[in-house]
Parts: sequence; C-alpha cells; structure tokens
Amino acid sequence: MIFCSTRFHRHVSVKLPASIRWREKLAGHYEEDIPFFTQEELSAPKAVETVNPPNKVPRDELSILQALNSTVEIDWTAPRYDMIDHPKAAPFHPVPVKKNELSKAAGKAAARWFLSNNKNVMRFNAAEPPIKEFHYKSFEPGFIGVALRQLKQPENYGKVKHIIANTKNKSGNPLIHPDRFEEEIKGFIEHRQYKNAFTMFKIYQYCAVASAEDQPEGFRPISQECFNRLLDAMALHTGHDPLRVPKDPSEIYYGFRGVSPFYDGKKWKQTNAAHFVFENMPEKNAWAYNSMLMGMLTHKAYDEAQTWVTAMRDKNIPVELECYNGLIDCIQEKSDLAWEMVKKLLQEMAKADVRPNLITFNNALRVLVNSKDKLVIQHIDELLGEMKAMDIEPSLATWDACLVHVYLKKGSKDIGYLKKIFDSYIKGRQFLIRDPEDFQFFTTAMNSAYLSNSLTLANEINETVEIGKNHYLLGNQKNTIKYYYSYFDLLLKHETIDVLMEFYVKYSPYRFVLNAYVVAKLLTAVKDQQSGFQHILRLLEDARTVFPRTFDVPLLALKIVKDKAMKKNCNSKMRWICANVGWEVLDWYDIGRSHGLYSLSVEQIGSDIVSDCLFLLLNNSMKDVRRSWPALQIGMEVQAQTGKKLRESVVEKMGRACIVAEEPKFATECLDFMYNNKCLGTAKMAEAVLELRKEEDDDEFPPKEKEKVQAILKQTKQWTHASRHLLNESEKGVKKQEYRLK
Amino acid sequence: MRTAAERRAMLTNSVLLAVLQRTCNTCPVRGIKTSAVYLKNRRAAIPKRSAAGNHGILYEKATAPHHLGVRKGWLTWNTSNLYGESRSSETALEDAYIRKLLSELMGVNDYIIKRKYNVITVSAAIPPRKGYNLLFFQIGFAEEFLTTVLQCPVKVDFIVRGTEDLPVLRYI
Repeated sequence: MIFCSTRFHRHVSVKLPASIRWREKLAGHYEEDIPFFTQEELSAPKAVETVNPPNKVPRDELSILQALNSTVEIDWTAPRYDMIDHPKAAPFHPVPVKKNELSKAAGKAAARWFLSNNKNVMRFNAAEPPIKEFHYKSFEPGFIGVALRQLKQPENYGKVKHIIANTKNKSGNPLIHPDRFEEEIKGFIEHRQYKNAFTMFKIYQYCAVASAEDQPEGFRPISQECFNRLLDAMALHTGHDPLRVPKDPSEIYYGFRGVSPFYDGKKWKQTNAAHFVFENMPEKNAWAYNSMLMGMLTHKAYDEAQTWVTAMRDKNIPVELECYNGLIDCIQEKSDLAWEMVKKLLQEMAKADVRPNLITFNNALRVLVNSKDKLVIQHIDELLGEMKAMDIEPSLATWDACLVHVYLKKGSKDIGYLKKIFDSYIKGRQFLIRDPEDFQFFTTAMNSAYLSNSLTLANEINETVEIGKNHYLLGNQKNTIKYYYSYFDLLLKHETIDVLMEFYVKYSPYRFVLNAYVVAKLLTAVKDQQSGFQHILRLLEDARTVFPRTFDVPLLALKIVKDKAMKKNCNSKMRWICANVGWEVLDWYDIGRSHGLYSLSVEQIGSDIVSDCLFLLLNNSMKDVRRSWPALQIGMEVQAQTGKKLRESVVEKMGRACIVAEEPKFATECLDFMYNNKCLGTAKMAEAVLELRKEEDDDEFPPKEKEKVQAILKQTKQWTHASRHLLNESEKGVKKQEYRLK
Repeated sequence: MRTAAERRAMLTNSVLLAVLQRTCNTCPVRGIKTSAVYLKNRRAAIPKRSAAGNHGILYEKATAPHHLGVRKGWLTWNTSNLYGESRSSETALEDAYIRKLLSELMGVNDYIIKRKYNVITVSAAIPPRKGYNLLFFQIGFAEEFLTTVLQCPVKVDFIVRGTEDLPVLRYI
C-alpha cells in the first residue's frame, strides 16, 4: 500500500560523521577549501578553567523517587504508535484509536476488579515488594471494625474498657492504643484510608463519652488540629475511600462518561461522616464551618450551602475566599437578578477584607454570560476595570467568557472585538493554565473567527496555537476536533485546493478528523477548481482506510472522474489518474461485496459501477488488456449475482481492446460473453476473432472452437434491435412456461 | 503459488494414489509383514510436505530445530540458566503460567517471552480480525493481571499475520 509506506517511513535527513580517512582522501584534492587544525594550534597550551563544584543539596528518602517521577510525562496530543504493528490494527482515524484505548483501559479495570474480588484465590501480596516509607504499620482494618460492632450493641454499654483491652492481634498484641488515637487517625488520613479514620474516630468517641470508671487507661483526647484535618477529609470524601479503581489517563483525555476523576458522584446527606465529626467537635471554629461549606459546594448541595452561609452570617463567622468563589460559581439565576447577587457577594467580600482573585472574577463573568441580562457588556467592562484596578492579570478563560457573549450568544459578525483582544493580549505569546476553563479559549476564538468570516485572523490564531506548548490548551479530543473543523470550513470558503490539501496533510489524522462530510467537501472542491486533480487519489485511499463499509464517497469520486474523462480536454496524465481511481473503486467494491458489507441499494447498481470503472480503464489505454481483464471478470460475477447486465458499449469496447492488443484467448472469451449478453456488435466481433486467429494451428485454435465461432457469426449476422427484443421476450416466455410446468 | 492447472494435476495424482492404496489394503494378505525392519533415523519436528501444497504451518513450525538460533530465535529469553544465576525454576514456572493464561485468553499457543531487567515482554503472531476492540481489551487485561501477579511490568505486543482462522506463515 502506497498510503502505508508514506505513513510509517518518514524521510529523515541524517548528518553522517566525517571519518578521518575520508578527510585524508579529500585533502589531496581540495586542500584549500577544507580547514584542518594546524600543528601549532594542536600543540598550543589550552586555557585552564577553574571549576567550582556546587554545594551539596540536602535530600530526604523520597527525593530520588520524586526526581524520577518528574522525568516522566505523557504527550496526549502526539500520534500514537503503541498500536499493534499492522496497518489494519493501527487505525488511521481517531475514533477507532479512542475505541481501542478505552477498551484497553476497560481491560485493565476488569483485571483490577477480578484481582480485588478474588484475593484469597491468588497467592500474592499486592503490597510486595515493601517500601518502608510508603508502608503504614498499623493497617489492620478488619479487627477495628469488629471492635466497633461490639461497642454498638446495647448489651455492651459500660464495657468500653473491657472491649478495647480485648481487641487483639493474631499474635496477642493489643490493636487499639487509647493513648495513640491522634497519631492513628492522622496516619490513616495521610494514607488516604478515610473509612478507617472514621471508624477509629467512632471508637474514640465511645471512649470519650464513657464515664470516668469505664474510660480505658491512658486515654488521651485528640487535639484541635487533628479535628480540623479529620473534618477536611470527611467533608471532601464523606467518609468513603477514594475510588478504588483509579481512572486511566486515556479515559480522562477522551472524556469517558464525562466525570472528573476527583468527584465520585456521592450525594451530601445530613447523616454523613462530616456532620458526625462536626457535631462532636469540642470547639467549632471558623475553619470547621468553612470546611463544611466547601464540602457542600464540592458535592453540589447548593441549597444546603445557602442555609449554612446564612447561619454563618448570623454567628458572625468569616467566610474564606475559596468558599466565596464556590458560592459565586453555584449561582444558577438566569434573570437580571444574577448581576445583583454577584454584586452583593463581591460587596460582602470587600466588607470582610477578603481580596478576590482571578477565579472569583472568572466565575462572576461566567454567571453573567449565562444570564439573560440586557446590560451584560456594561457589567463585563465594569468587572474588567475592577481587575485592572486590583492588578489581576486576566487569563484565557476571562476572554473566553467575553467572546462567548459577543459572538455565540449575540451572534455578532463584527471582527473588531476579537481582533482587539487578540492583538493586545494573546498574539505571539505562550500560556500556562491558570483556570480550568482556559481550555475553551482557542476553540471559541476560532469559532467566532469562522462566524465573522475572517481568514486572516484565523491564520493568526493558528500561528499562536503552534507556538511552544500552546497546543496543549486545545484541551480534550472534543475541543480539538471542534477547533480544526471551524478552521477547515473557513479554508474551504476562501482558499484553493492546494492550500486545503496542505492543511489536510499536516493535521490529519490525529488532530483533524476525517469523515464523509470532509471528504465530500474536498472532492467537490477538486471538481470545481481546475488544478489539484491529482489529490483525488490520496483522498480516496484515505477514505478507504477510514470507512471501508460505506460506499458514498467512491460513488461521488467515480461521478467526478467520469465527467472529467468524457471531456475533450482530458490529457494523458488525467486519463491515467482516472484509470487509477477506477481501479481503486473497483477493488474497494469487490472486496466489500465478497464480505457482504454493502446494502442492497449499492449491490443493485453493481453492474453500473463495474462498467464505469471498465470504461475508465479502457479510456486510459486500449492495449493494456491484461490489467483491465480482471475488471470484466468481476463484472461477469456481478451480472450472475444481480441479474443486471453490464453496459453494452463498454463490453463492445472491451472486445475491440482484446483485438487491438492481439490477445486471442481473451477475445474468444469476450465473444462468448457478448453472445450471451446479446450485444449487437457480436457479428463484427466474431469476424474479427476469425481474422485474428486465422494463422493459428489446430493445437492452438481447435476446430471445435472454430466451428462454434462460425456458428455464432451465422446466428448473429442478422441481429437488429427489434429481433433482440423478440429474443428476450421469447426467453422470458420459455422461463414462464418452465415455471408453470414445475 | 502454483497455478490452478498444476494444482488440478497434482490432485488427480493424489486421488489415483489413494485408489491404489485402497486396492492394496483390500488384499487378503494381512497381519504378517515379510520385509526387513526399517529403522530409519527420522528427524523430529520437520513437517511433511503435502501433495497439494496447501497445508499451512504456523510460525513455530516453519523452521526446523537445527535452524534454531540461525533463522529463528528461542521462545524464551532470559539469563536465569547461566552459570551463577538464580531463580531458574521460578522463571520456568512463570513462563508456563503466562503461556497457559494467554493461550486460554487469546486462543494462540506460541508466545515469545523475553526478560530484560525486571520487564517481561510477551509477543506473538495472531490472526487478523474484523474488529480490534476485544483484542485491546484482552491486552489490557493480560498486562494488568500479569503485572500484579508477577509483580513486575509486563508488556504484551502482537503482530497480525496469516489468514482469519490461523496465523499461517506459509503453505507447504
């Protein structure tokens, strides 16, 4: 395959090192041109440099692992070569790439699930080989759970001391140390075992509530700092462990199920772990209130968050900056009141001396843009002015919100606003991510350039995307596809086919997705314009690799090529291209037909497709019959299957080609086929065959065959249109009679 | 490849031979063989050529044993059998385990297992399929499962060869 060879073997210019012998050889011929080191230069003393070794950097036990971790990075935008080493398995299109990657991730998840459910069957330890720094020693959750179950039962009230003393290891050592509750809980939180931390806290609570006599010996209450940390963990995870099967990076990139890897989809309840810890806290400080509020906002419990905030206001407890950001983000009002709500929160922040940051303003802008306020542009200007006054540099997400309002919501077609923003803040710069919504900017910018129909600005935007690592900011697969589609549509409107193909070759297949729409557009561009007819071959080959099951594209290509070939100005080169296209379409159709891929409607027009392809092949050269012969064979098969005859003119042309090329065997076979098809030119063909094989011996041209040809000549000499019609009718009649007799 | 006419001729020959054999077997003489004992020293593992030339052989049987290390490599690559090296029995057992698991999972029997540092790479030739999603699922499953059980990174690579039924290398 030509296509595969271009993909897998790229031309790489390699600079070969000049060997000494080669230099000596050349030195004889070109002494002056090639500079050599003279003996004086070699013998001259070299300058001695003073070397200052750097000071020793203090490093801990994990620093080597951290350094190793920092060297590894995955480039998700790069083309994938981890597919199987086969053109069939290594897909050309991003959609099968996505499918394969996700199925691989699914396989990994299935293996993990299987292993976690059948731990007892396998003889292995997941924590081997142990690294002491990562290993938490008092990890025996099963026994702690047993102790808690005993404490819960009403029979065991007042026996706390006894139960805690009796919960022992297999080797007989006590599991729960009443003097080390704080360290245990902190250890569990550090190793992200939140469920165990919560059970340990419950046991602690039983001990703390117990009477002085029942309290275990050496009991030490936990500090306020430990309470704060526990509440943070419980508010974020609601007493559950983080996802046992962590998400694969490929699942995140392709947006599988559309869920972020940190949000586990759990709902906030009044009876959850965070509320339990909060209620049992001895001192409920501002930290505790704020962490509870953050937990509610992350779990999307907006109504409860509002009531919580009012309670905090009543008690004069200050709200933190991050909580304010979350509160602005959760405003779902879409009327004119949205701006007032934002304004109220910002004023409250100013009163409480809380300085807003970039994310505060970005959230406020997003709320404004989503609302149906009529004065949004004025409010946007106000917010931008405020940002300028506070020395906060706007990020890409800020401009994204502005563009969304002006171009996508209002539908403006004036390019001035985008150009002003682009020239003053974005052109020729490299960006880092400062807001999670920064990923949206370039796609919306390109989309608005498309809507306002300016190609120059679109080209400039694409240039900035190409700078450094800016293309990372195109985000996930969905965004990148959107971006390149709008750019392609703009190019289609304004540019020639050569420029389009340049773009196509550069960005497909991994950034720019090929589909039937794109190919159809490109083919029509080829049809309309005078130059660039040679690209049709490459497009057809690519389309074949991407969607071999649909047959719309080759039909369109065949139509275009046939129109070109029928014209008078079709030169030899174009005819050659047409013939290649015909051959490609025929091969495509034949393989699909043999596998039964196509629908009935495509199969019914099979004879038309084959006769078109045959016409193109013969139009290129009449003498190259050996190449076009398989096409006729395919045609015969199709005719036998569908019952529809090949085009008569094409079959006659094929017969003429056989005689021109002086291929007697092909000519006689073709004559048979013509006779069966009842072509009008069979008599002429039979004469030509007899003349061609006139000088052959009896071995080469046996007398039986000769008699047959002569008989055909006799029968078909008086064939006309009318007689053929009668023949067909009589055949039909015979068939009908046979059927009745049966 | 032979032409159709040649094949047809060979087939007719083989049919004739079969008829002859049948006639010989139906003779009343049976049970006693009067010829001398024919103890020919035949080489093992060299497949016999079929008359029609349509017997497909897989990659594993395509080269004879005396060409091992010349035209074809070994099926296992490790250094545990060298002098002074340890855990030769463990590697053998692990290899058998990998072979058993993957043959059940994929339906292919011949795997090349290569060990370098602590990385195990498993590769094989598999027949082409219509869709490759299931194959990638199997690869992901095998990699994750073997990495956790053997406690070292395992990579699974495949080459797609042959027909749809079998990864046939060539016909003899």
